[in-house]
Amino acid sequence: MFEAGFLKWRYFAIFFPIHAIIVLFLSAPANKVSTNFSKWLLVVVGSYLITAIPFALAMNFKWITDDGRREFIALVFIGMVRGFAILDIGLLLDLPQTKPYLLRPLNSAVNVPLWFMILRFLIGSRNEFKELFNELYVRNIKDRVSKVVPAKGKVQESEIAKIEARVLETLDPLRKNIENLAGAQMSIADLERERLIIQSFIEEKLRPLSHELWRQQKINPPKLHYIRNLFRVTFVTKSQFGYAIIPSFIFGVVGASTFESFAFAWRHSLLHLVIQVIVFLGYEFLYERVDSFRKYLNIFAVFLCIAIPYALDPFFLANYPSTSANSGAEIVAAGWFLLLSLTFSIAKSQTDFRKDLIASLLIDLEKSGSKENSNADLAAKYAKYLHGDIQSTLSSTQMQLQQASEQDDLKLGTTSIEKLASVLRRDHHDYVIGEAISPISKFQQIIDAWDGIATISIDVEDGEFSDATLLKVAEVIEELVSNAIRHGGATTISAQIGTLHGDMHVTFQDNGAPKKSGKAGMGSSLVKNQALNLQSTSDLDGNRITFQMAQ
Amino acid sequence: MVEDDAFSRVALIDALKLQRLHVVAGVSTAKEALEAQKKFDPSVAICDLDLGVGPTGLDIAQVLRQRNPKIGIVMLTSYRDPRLAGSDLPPLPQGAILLNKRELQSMSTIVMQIIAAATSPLKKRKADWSKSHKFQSLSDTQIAILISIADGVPTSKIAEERGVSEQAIEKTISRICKNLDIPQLKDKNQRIQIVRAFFYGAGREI
Repeated sequence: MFEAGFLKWRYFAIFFPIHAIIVLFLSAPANKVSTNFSKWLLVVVGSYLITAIPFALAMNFKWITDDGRREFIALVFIGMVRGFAILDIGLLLDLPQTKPYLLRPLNSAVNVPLWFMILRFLIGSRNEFKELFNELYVRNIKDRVSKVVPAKGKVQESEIAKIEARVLETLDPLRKNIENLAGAQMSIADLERERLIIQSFIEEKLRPLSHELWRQQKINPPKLHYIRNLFRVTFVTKSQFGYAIIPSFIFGVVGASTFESFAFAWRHSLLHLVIQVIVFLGYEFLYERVDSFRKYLNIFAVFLCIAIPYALDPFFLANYPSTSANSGAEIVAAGWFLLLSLTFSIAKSQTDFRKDLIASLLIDLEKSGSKENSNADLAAKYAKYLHGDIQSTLSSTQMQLQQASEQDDLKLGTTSIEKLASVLRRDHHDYVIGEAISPISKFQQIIDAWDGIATISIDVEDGEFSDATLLKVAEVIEELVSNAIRHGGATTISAQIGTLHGDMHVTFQDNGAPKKSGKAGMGSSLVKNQALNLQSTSDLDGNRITFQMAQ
Repeated sequence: MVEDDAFSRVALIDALKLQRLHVVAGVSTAKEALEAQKKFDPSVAICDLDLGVGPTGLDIAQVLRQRNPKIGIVMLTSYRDPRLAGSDLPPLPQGAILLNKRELQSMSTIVMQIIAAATSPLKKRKADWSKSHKFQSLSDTQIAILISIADGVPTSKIAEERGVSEQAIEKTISRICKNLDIPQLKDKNQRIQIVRAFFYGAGREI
């Protein structure tokens, strides 16, 4: 409860309105304040500035700011200085003061540290609370939550549909436009126009969508319901209302002294004190004995601490015929008691009962479910697809169209438009969601990846090849391609896949430098492992490898 | 800028622009890189080593250099030893600068290296892949075997592929462990420790 962090200028600034309200409304009866309002205002500002001096001094001692208890004690002294400042400035300005005079500094010495505690644990700790919440979510909980709450097929499907609909909606106008052009006669002006259309499409449509999908993959912890959590923590953990009893007693004595006699004030507060202590002792006695009703016991005890004194007040007031009931003061006193109880409970929960706090936060996190996670993963996949595959194809088409229009190369323009049309025509779902890549896509991937460095053609004859065998052969071809380019400098490569005696037969040819016989590299060992009847011939025109693969 | 990961590419390009470098093109494939070279004739190419399926950044750098012998090359990689990306990679072009993404401390480091690559593209530089790491003590053969182990290939298969005895492979594995400081402990599977070391070297700790 006493971790360092009470002495902060931020809290001191927030304390100003509280200080002003206390001085203007609780130091003297309202009618006396209104007649000398400007003087009371001077008391507010003057005492606040004087309080800032010891506050600044304490802030400069690392020995104090390193330890919460020392900070708290420093605040007691700061509060005392504030109390004397209010008293002395008030006396200098001839303003009415509560008697005995020492009550003012005593009350201030007790209440200032408590106010700082309230500010710290109710307002200031929100950030700490949120950090802890995020940390829990990001580091530990995300995986757990996704395991605890299984992904629901229906939710997943609807999320896919939603994102896919947006992708299609975005890509469709361009697809229709490109589809109309594919295979049609085009002029150089058409190519230039299409280039501009593609450019503006990337800037205005594609990027905003892919960026939005990127943002969705950011880890977004569920919303932090701060106030709800504070209350939950307060009543799940043991209520610390006992700490509020003595400060409330002092507050009651000082508060009541401002409009009644000191004798009345302290007796009235003593009655409240005795009742609250009895409730507290009863609470302590029962708390360990009633496991299942603890949170109700918390609420009940706090309720009794306020309700019983209030109910008994009429009998007490009967002994003071000249004194009338003051429900406003009773509400302020009850509010102060509640505020302190809440603060002490939260302070205790956030420090000593960290485990309970974490348990409470977990409830929110687990409730959040995996919907966001699966949604974010899916969004990320689509973002990557749009940002990578689609955008790079569009950029490449754009560059080719520019080159075509600059060089009057209509063929280049037509080819690039057709390639773009085929990319926009594809089933985006398969590319993004599909777990396994199809063999044909794999072949295309190899061709596209090396495009520019080498021209590769892979022909698959009609035959009943299983996808598994074709994927295996794709792996072998991938190795052969990289070997032919890296070691032979090949620029033209072809592979034919057909059947021979019931087995898959592959012929691989490249125009690279003839292979040197030597130690087998990893590529060729992969080929050796997968391929049967491997035969290799080399001449000045290049290399030819044939092999079979058992299906 | 040749980088297959769109997010990294866009982020790095923006960062370089903020450093007042004139980035003429950001591309993700070999074809786009070569087209961009033809169009803009850049003085430096920054290539990511691992570009997914197909050519690596090194393959592209080789072709870029063939087409413009004076182009500066800066290679980016997260591998602590790029040999772990594949045992059959082409060599680093002369004068190329290799930057380990994991060791970069600031954008100014990249900028300085880009300027160095632009001003002296062919300067002989020590191409020690990973000066500060123990992977440097592994030979190419050991690296190739390390990759096979990480790929889940059993010792017998590695021996068969390399045309040597299983015992020879076991000895090589022991030397790999020694060089990588992997102790033989009863309660820890050594092969798994080797795989972990591989992924650590590949910049993908597990």
